[in-house]
Amino acid sequence: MSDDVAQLVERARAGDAAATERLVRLHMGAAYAVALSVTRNPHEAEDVAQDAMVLALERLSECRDPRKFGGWLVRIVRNRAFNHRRYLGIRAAEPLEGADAGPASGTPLEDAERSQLRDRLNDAVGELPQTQREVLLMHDLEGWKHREIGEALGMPEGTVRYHLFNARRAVRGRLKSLVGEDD
Amino acid sequence: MTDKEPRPVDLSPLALPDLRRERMVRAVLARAQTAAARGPLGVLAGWARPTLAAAAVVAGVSLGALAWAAAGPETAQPLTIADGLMPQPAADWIAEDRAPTEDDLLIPWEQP
Repeated sequence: MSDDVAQLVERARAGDAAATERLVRLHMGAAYAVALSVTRNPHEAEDVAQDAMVLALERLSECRDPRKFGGWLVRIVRNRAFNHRRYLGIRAAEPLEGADAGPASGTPLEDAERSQLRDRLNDAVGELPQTQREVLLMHDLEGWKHREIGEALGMPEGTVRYHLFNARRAVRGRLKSLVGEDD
Repeated sequence: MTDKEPRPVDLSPLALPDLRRERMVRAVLARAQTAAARGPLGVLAGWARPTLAAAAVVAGVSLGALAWAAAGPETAQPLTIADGLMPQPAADWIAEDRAPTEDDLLIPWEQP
């Protein structure tokens, strides 16, 4: 995948619109996931991810290793998201909020159940430490590999696994307790 | 650790809905295209208006300072830019609300 991405980056640098679009499509989800892990607000995460992606495209020539475009983009998204959070003065302990997933897509009962599940996930993921949240969202939401996450976040693969392990365990535990509270 | 790793958590409810993802992609491409079309000159042109506004402010302040310096320290009245640009006799007959005499009109030209 790295080589494919590298080719896309090279073509995008040369002004290939199709390659640029492919590059954006491939990475938009990851940019959103990283932005969400920092801002904890879906709407703000969308804005941050968009801004960061535009910035990355404008500075594509500064990406030294095109094979590592993903990691380079993630760093831009993180910086932008942290600046955004500082700008808004959002408290670190604030849970994910307003995670509405857009228009309803099923029956009212299905939508209600999905909304409830989303709220529980928000609560559980929102309580994780920043790094665990980032690793979990990038891996389990966006399907990044341990190695790719490690490169993006600047940590060894083993550390990524360690954070992922703890994050999954914490989220499962939290979800169980939330279900228990409901019962 | 892989064997003991807990199963992946289904985070799909937190995923970006397809419709929004598509809208974001379109917005990013449109913004990037606009930025590319502007190019370096376009970026510079974007600075033209605020730069001109800043220059106008600097010019106004400079003229005020020049007028104050030209009027000398004995001037008790606060000066405006118009005071600096207007010869003293003219200011006199305007202040006195009267028509200028011949002297009023000639003196400014005779003074060095």
